[in-house]
Amino acid sequence: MIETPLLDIRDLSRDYAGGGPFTGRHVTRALDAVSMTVQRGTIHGIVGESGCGKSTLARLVMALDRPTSGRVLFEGEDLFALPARALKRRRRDFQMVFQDPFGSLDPRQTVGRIVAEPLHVLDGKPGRAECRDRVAAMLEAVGLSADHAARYPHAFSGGQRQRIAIARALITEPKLVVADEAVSALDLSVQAQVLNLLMDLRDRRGVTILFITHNLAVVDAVADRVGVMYRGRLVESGPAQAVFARPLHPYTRLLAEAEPDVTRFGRPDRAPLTVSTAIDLDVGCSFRNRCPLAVARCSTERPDLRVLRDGADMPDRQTACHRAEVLLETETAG
Amino acid sequence: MSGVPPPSAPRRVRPVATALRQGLSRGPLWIGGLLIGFIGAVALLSLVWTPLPPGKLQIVQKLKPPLAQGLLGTDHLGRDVASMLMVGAWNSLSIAVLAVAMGAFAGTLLGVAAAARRGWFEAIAMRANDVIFAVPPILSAMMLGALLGTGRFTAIIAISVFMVPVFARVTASAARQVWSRDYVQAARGAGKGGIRITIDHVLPNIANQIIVQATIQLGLAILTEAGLSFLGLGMAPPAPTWGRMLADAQTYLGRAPWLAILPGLAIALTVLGFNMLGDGLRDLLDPRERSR
Amino acid sequence: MDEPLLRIEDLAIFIDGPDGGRQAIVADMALTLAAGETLGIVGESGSGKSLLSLAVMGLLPAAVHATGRILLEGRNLLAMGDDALCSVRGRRIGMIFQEPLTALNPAMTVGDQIAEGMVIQQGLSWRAARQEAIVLLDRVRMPDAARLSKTYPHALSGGQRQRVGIAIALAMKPALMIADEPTTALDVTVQAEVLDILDDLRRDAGMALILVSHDLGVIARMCARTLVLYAGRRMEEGATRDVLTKPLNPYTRGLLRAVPRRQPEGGRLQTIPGTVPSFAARPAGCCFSDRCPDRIDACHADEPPWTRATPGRGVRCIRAHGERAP
Repeated sequence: MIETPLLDIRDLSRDYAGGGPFTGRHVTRALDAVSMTVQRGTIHGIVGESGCGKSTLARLVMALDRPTSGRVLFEGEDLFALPARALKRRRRDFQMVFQDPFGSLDPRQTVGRIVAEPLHVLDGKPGRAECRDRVAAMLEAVGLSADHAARYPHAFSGGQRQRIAIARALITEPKLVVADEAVSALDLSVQAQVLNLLMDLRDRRGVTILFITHNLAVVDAVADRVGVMYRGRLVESGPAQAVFARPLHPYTRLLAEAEPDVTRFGRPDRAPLTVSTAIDLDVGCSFRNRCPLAVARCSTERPDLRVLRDGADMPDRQTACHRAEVLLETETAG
Repeated sequence: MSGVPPPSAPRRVRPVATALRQGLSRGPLWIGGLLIGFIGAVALLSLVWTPLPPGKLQIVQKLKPPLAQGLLGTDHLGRDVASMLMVGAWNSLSIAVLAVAMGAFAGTLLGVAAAARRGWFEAIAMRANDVIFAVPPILSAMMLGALLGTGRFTAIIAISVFMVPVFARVTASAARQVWSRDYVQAARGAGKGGIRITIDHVLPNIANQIIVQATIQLGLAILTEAGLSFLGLGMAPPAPTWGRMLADAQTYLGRAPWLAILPGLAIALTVLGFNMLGDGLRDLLDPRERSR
Repeated sequence: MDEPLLRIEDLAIFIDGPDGGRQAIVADMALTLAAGETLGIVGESGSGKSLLSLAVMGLLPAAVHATGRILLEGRNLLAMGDDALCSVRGRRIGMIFQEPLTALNPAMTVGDQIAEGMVIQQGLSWRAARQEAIVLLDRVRMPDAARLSKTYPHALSGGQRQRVGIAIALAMKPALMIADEPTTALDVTVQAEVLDILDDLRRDAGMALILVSHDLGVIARMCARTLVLYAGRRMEEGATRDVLTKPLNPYTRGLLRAVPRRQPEGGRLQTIPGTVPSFAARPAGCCFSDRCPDRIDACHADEPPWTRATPGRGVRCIRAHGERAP
């Protein structure tokens, strides 16, 4: 029997209307028919650059925004088909950690109140003493101490604030935590602590984490599975280790090569490609103007996510590239 | 309310220059606070004691300069100017405070509602504001006066109606900023609705701006009230107000200039006091906002 | 011996405290930089790296004071008047900021912003300067430079804005370029392009480059020498490859271990316990003594002096030399 995935995203799209009175209205597709599943108890990484739609995806999964089309199934239940009251009740099961540890905590509230906030919405709202106990336990679980509850956010450093934000996200014992660039604003020496905390939460509490970031190394370090996004589309997905060891999409490879590395000194030999020409994004592959492998087919036919035909040794991997087989050959040859 | 911890730096001897600089930057707050404190105290005192009953006529003693009769002289009916100024302070301040309080309440309500609802509600609320703002308070006082008769109540309503759009605008823009913060997104993610978020997050974070705005608007309210009573649209005649004292003094400008100067000075000092207090409060409350 | 391009000696930077006291944010800072050399300055928040670059530019905020000497081509910038400093800043030192959008004037075309400096400092006509601006935009590999020079900053992408920022700094043909986190706000693929542009320009023009960054990988890619800062102190200096492969200071070692990378069998990342101290709450003795895995009692007693291990290699740690063999 196949277990229902915790999160099942189907053909999710989101358009934003843009343009002013002088430029004419136009529609930007921030998210373009994205489908993916997230299994329980895993850290699922979403990686991509600015404008790839990863934050839009986060807002939709959190039901903070409505999609233009498509569905988000949480334990098989369509979030956007739920009545408002039922959705509100469901929210205890998915919580979010934001990027900016300074903007995500209300400066006028004590840490105790901040962490307890999601509890106030619960149906059987716990009493004052129970709230306090749960906040204290949660603060300790994220590596802070119970007496921090009486202080205000500005007394804490960036890393500590992010722990507070994580404590708030975990207080209702959610099944899913969406972490949008949750460690990007942190110093290196603190970042590793927070990443370890997320892995501990997955292992000890079975929390599923949708980990959204632009930083490949961070995803590689913590994620079980990863999806790579480019211009609103999912272009590659698979087990994180395999994807980064052997990218099956030229964009993933470009990302991996561009990523600075402390063990690579001086300039890399291969000069990165620059964006050449503007292209019609409505047809063909949206990466073709930066792609070293692009052929005529890439500008007429949009590649969909597919499993490689001779990918017997690559279970569970998908790529949206017509030329993935070529990539595989060059990779093996080089 | 605010939870700024004591500075963790060890305290050191404060050099004179720094003390001076800090003193200067806090100057407006102190001067404004003292002025308003003094005028407020005088206004309260007038409720229980004045040198003479302000309405007592002593025609024989009319138009006496300051110190010749009473502390600040007498007017054309021989009334004691000092007593009239004291009662006038109470009348002016009470009208201004009530009007600003009502205006601030209604305006803030409108502002936070507009920021919470956005869309068509915001558009209609803000355009309605513009319409109200375009009607001068003198005009609305005249219309209200025709409807309800002149008096304290009319003055309060006319001024507070004028205050509503001011507060609505300030709160709406401040509240919109709060709504764009991640902690509001987190609250939405926790399932809180617009009203809960407004009470829990928006209002505490914009309270400073409202307080500063209210203080500055009090000065404007004093001026408007003086203008209304100058035109006879304020409180009914036997009650002394600064505005009518000025109006009455016009006829005697050559013979008894103090009759115009003294209430004018009272109005000017009160407005100045509120403005300085407002500026000082802004400086006091704002840096803490910024240093997060 | 030739005077180096930049020599910083005994630099300390103080801030006026809220209670009137003065606190040192940066202390005992020194470095030299020869013409055409590249130096990476690495540090986390609170390390003083941005203040250091602002001090060299003479752009310290009003509440901040510097003592010591910053010698550019033999002239002490800290002893200079505002006018002299202004011309040095324009002609000899160029600066690139982290967020190009806030460093650009939103109400002026990017071409005019590049041209402005040349008109004021070099006395070019606006016409000639605008032509030159297009050439510069071309050199920072801006596609369609002539058209884009007539657009406003908001119409450009982050990477394009940063190229404009580089073009502005480049217009003065500076001898020294200071780039403070120039690519932190950019995507990785754009970052790679901008770094390559910077590197090419530096080589072509023979500029010296100080690259301030929190990203060790960026430093490894760009800089021959590296200076590691922590809590306003120099911790370690040397050739980049030496510093990043054979670190002497426990802080550098910890930083390198904390770089996220996949651990075998779901193991945890190595961390440095604790947090970066605020400048008002530094521990006694060595500024890293509260977090250091190698600390001994003596570390809490006195601030360790700066010592030279070998020529071109310096470290601040009393345990450095005994710890070198792993």
